[in-house]
Amino acid sequence: MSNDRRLSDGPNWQVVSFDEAVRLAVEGMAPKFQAAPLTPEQVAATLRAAAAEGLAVRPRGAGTKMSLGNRSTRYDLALETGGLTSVLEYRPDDLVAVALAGTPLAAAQALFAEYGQWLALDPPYAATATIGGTLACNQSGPHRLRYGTARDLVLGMRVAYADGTLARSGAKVVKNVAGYDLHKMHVGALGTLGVIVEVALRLHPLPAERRVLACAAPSDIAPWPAMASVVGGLLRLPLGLGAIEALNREASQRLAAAGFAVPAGELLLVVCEGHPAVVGRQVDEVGRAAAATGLRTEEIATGDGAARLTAAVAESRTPHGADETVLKLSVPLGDTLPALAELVVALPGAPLIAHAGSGVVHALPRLAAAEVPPLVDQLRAWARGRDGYLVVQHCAPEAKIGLDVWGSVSAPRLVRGLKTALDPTSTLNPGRFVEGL
Amino acid sequence: MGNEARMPAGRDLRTLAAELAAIVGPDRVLSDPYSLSLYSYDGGTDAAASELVVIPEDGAQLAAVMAAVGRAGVALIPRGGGTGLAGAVIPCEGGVTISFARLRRIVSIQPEHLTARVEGGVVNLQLGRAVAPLGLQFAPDPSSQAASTIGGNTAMNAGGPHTLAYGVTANHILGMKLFLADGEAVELGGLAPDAPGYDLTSLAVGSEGTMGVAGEIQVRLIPRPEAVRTMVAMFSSVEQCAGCVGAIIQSGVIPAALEMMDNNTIRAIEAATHAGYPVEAEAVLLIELEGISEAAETGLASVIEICNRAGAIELKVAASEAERAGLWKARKESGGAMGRLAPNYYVMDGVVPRNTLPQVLAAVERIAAEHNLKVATLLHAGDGNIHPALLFDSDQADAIDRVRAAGAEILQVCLDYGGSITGEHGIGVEKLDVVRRMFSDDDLEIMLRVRDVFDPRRRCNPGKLFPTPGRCIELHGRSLIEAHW
Repeated sequence: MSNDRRLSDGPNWQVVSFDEAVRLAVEGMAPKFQAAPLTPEQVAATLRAAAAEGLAVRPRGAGTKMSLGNRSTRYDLALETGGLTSVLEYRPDDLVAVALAGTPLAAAQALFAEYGQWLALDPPYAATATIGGTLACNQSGPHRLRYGTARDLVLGMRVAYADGTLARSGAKVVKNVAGYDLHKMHVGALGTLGVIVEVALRLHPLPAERRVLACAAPSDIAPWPAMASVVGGLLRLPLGLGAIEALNREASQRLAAAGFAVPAGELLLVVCEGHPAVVGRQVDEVGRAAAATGLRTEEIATGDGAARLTAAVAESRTPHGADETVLKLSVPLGDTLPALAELVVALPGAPLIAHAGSGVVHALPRLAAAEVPPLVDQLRAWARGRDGYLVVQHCAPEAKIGLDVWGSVSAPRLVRGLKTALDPTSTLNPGRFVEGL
Repeated sequence: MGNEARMPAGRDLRTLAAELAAIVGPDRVLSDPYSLSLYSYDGGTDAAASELVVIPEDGAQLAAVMAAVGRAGVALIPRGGGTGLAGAVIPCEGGVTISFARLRRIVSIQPEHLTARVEGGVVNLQLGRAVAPLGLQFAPDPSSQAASTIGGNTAMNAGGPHTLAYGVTANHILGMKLFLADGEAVELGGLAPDAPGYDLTSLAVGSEGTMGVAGEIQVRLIPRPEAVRTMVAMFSSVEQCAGCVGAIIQSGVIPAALEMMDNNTIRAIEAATHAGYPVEAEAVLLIELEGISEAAETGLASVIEICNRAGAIELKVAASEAERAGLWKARKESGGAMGRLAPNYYVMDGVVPRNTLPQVLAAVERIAAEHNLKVATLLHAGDGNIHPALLFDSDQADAIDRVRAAGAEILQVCLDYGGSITGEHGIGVEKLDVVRRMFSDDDLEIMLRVRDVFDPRRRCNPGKLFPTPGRCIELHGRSLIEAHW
């Protein structure tokens, strides 16, 4: 057992100093060792050595989502990917880029923006997160309505496995059906099957124009049924809208507190984007649909301001304060706003932010640790009744004792089988993922 | 890495046939040589004799069939429309072909959730017709869509001309009921997004039936476009035409379709269809823009400007729906039209970065010439997906050798430019020889470990996708190697 081994530096890692232990600690557990490989080969060598020594490895990008997942059962080595920082290839005239996993998302986006392009992911923590961490945690934001999620944008990947194997899947072109799409399996796998070291990404052109409309209900109109009707209508038209987000009163207050001029109360934010003529039509359609249900529409941001606003919406679902719990509820997409309306009643005072066209609601109730498990049980049963899921994305560490933040999964035998096949030594993030893996 | 070692020896097909007949009825188990021969090939060039064909008609029968085949320890080969081009449904290790011909119910359509659930044998166009009255569509539109099934599209991650704007099949599958080799059915994904756990749905899509068989599939539907504008741009050189593709891609306009055809292709389809393509052009682009009318119109205006800047000698915008339909009909029937150019042809499928198309197409021409072959090339240019058709006469003694040699060199060019050996047809058995040029042994070893989680005895569609030491298939004897793409 690693506990019995003499603590000493090795070729692949160093003993952590006290300060580093504080920085790298997660939920009260500090690693004994840290590694900062500079190449994919070094990542693989580190994993192989760690697996041989029986060390449990926690991969770490910028460290923004370390609290995602169940409590680790073991944590011996912090493997930081920050040294793997480079956009290896960028072909603007093919809308494809290849980057090392530790590349900061924001730095890559800045590069792509010079060519009028972007990686169409606008997740929370976008200012600091790495590309690899964003993919490993399957983070997405408001624009998933138009562009899908990471699985739709990842073309290929190079992954370091616990036995030291470095293997690729996919390709560096936008269309490819050779081999298994293992890169999509690693999206959202939280580094439990392997450590992402390099990714090939599909990029999109930045829209020529962006305008954000806010639809709000006057006091004599029930907001959620009206908004549900607006969203339902808009989704049936081929408008190519960028995003549709629904915010309850508390969530819109959060945007106001962040300095955005938004109307008070429940809001439906619609991101219109594309060619100016297209945006003009989108704006008309949104206004018409809103007016038909009695909602008032106003334009609240354009251009860069629109991008800042959608980024702020994504950021508003990060925990604000130590006792804020982040719950992610998924339902069939047409049920998003009815679900949101029920959550408003079930979770008074909690900010609620929904991807109104995608079936995802984020709820951020303030809860004492002891309140989390019973609430999760209750809401999980409710979600299951809607063919949906509840995942606890963040909560107080003490709340996780006896709690499975993921809930049950389909095909558990296959899920366990994949873990056994690719990380038989349980080297990677043990205990942190579904099924106690 | 050989699969053969995992195949149990000793089969009693007659016992198995009787067992299957008890499940599906005696008339739904085929074992006579004529019937079996019909299931021995697909739309590609390879063939292998089947041993039994079984035609279940619901999920319960499918599960029972798979369990029985599993107990017998023989291979099971799922088969949809049989339109594939890579031999992915040929029974190259014998065993039982499971036909989806009767599993073609649309289980539910839920427009409020923009989704439908279908059995694997539902034909792509059948689903399209069912949801069109709701103003919805299933976006993937392989040229085989009149005959190919959603199950087959899913297994092969099918593409199509309109995947440029909407994405390939993988982008439109929300979940499935996957039947494993022992008959156990597992639900992957579903109506709600972001199911916790590993994304098994994305893993199964495109796995060519090697993980299991998709009995039911939950598909994403999208609104049908309000307006469609279609145009043809003619160029006096392939290089200029290919360069124009890169310019369109970089401009930020995303056409729904951006197809390119060289002169040989134009001549073939024009002779066959008289759709109005200019036979004097060295290359043409068929470009479609769609969405709301503003998107189609502004997109069209941008593309016209880009084409003019790129040196197009003539532009023609379809003036009517009939004209548009004619242009597409000719394009989608280009497979058959190739028969006018030569007695035989071999359609290839590779992908390259879109900015390298001019160099790659020049290399394709050069390679064909070096092997004394003519080539007619058609591209899903917007995706960088090239389909050169190597034209030959199989009566010439060394023709097939020259085609194989040229084909291998062309795929190497795709890889050298950073591309892929297949964009939409799949590996099947056709590309087994070249898989190792794209993936290392380590890459394939990891993929096999994943396969073994789903199908530890490797009975689901064995001999496909993963290179094996010996191939058991032969080029079959049809006089014209037909293909649609």
